Amino acid sequence: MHRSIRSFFLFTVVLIAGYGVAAQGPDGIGDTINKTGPVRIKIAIPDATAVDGFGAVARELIETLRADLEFSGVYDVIDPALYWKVPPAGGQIPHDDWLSIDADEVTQIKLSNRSGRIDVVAELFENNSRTRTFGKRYAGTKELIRRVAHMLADELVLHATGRRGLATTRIAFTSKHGKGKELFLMDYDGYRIRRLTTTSTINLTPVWSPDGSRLAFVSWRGKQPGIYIMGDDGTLQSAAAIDGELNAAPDWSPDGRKIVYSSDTDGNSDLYILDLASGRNTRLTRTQAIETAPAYSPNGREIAFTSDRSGTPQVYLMGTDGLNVRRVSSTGSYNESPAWSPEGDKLAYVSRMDGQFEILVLDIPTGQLTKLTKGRGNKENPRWSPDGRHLVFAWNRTGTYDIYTMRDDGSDVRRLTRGGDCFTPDWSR
Amino acid sequence: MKGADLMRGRGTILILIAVAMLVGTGCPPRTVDTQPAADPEAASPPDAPSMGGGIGRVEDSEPSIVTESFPSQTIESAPLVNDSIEELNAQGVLKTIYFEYDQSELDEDDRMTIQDNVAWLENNTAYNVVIEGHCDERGTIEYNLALGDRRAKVVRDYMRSLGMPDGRMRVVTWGEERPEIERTGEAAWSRNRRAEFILE
Repeated sequence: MHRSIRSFFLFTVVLIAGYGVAAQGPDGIGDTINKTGPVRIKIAIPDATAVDGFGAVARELIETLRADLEFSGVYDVIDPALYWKVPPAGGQIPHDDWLSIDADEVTQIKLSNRSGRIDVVAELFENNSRTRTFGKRYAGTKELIRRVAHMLADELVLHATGRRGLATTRIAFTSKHGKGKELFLMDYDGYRIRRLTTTSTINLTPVWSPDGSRLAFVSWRGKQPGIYIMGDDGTLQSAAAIDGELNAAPDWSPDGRKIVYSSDTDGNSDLYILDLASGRNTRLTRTQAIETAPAYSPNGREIAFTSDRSGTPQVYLMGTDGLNVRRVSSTGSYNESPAWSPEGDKLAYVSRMDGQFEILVLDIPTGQLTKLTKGRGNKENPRWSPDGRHLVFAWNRTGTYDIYTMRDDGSDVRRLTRGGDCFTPDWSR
Repeated sequence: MKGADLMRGRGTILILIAVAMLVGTGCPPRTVDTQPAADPEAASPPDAPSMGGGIGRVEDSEPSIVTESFPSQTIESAPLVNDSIEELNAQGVLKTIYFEYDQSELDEDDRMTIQDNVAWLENNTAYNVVIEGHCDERGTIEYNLALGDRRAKVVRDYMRSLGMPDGRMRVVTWGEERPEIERTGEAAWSRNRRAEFILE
């Protein structure tokens, strides 16, 4: 991780002077476009112009950008097979020709060589008004061209909606490696996989801190399973959880100051909150049953968790003071791994149906329950994308577990990893 | 360590071979008699009795032959005397118990096995034990961690009731992370729902 993060900062993002990029605030029109869904901006992304030797890099940049914007749900990328109808750019942008293939907007991207590094200049034009509405320059090494495409895609989504897109988000997960399961990272699209740990033992359930700078996870690197926190500067610390032979299932409070987790220190697995600054632990549950898999609600006021106090694992909610406990899963004999949607109005969890785990989503205000997954095998550990439009999960459809994503209605299932025995994903905020 | 305990392992077999060869050189014809006797690996140094009662008894019966026929040589005494923890664990001196699906109760068989394990530990106070709780792959990762913990603790509580001090036991759950058999299906699952006893 360290190298990729450092490289990330090596990129100098320069606002091109005079363009007056109109970055809308968080309350801009983006909300409307995001919510209404079907209203997508039709955008043409023609090939980039590139100096000699940068052709392959230019292609990767453009293809990544197209995929990012299509995935964003904000843009509808017009089929490149139609672009031949538009004459090559030579000076003036042929806005009328772009309009003839229904392009509301068109990009113009140029790659040049600046003392061994790639210089990317990206501009966006509105065809109706014939105006340039966005411009940015990126510079870096060509190994990071996918990262450039993701940054540009997120800027374009921000430009259109007032909210940053998903393209620069990452997914943390664990995968078998040698004798252990190690922590890994990948881009949201499954590219640029990199390993974070070398422990030769088991590491599980990485969770991103809300600001994306830290990962809390469970590791057996000590003599027993404990909670550790890795910083993006490579530091590793043991979370000051209470004694116990099992400390596991960490999740961050929305302000990043606390971690809720399970510990067996009082005999069986109960839930506790650790205040990171003071090291103080507060016990939330006091049963003889197993309580685990706690998840902080986005408003920080509630905890979703699993308990087998009824005799089977079921999903419950309670206040962060441990009071007002109520069961929310009403069907099935094994419900586990609750995950809040970013808006806090839905809970995804796994439910055993016909001998395999499926992912269900409970709409909390209405109580409506929807099954998102189908097909052979266990679908486990659902986690939401930061925009709430997608979920990432582990699925052993092929016989071994891999990481997949899907839309929040179960459509558009994408396989991100291939045969790597990959588990417990979490999507960065 | 007591001689009886050595009988359990591979190390003991080496000793028995050595003993057989020592005896064979001075005894009436036997199969081993036809073997070349002067295998340096099997030869016994003069201080061999320190290895344990078995060798000592042999020397008592045939002292002169031992010293004459087998000049001081190295034999594989080190691994036997140390009988490393890894070796003992590999031999399986402590027996694994298996659980029913989603259960953590002990049945009569399990209790008998645990009693044997406790008896071994009482006779071998140099070792402590880690009780590892394991699950099959069918549950979720997080719940299985807690279930493995619960299984290990049920075992520890029973061992405690048999008089095993807390200071010699600790529990570790591995959830579904360390299956005994990496396959799906009840045949594998029934072997994976278990508590293992690891010496340390």
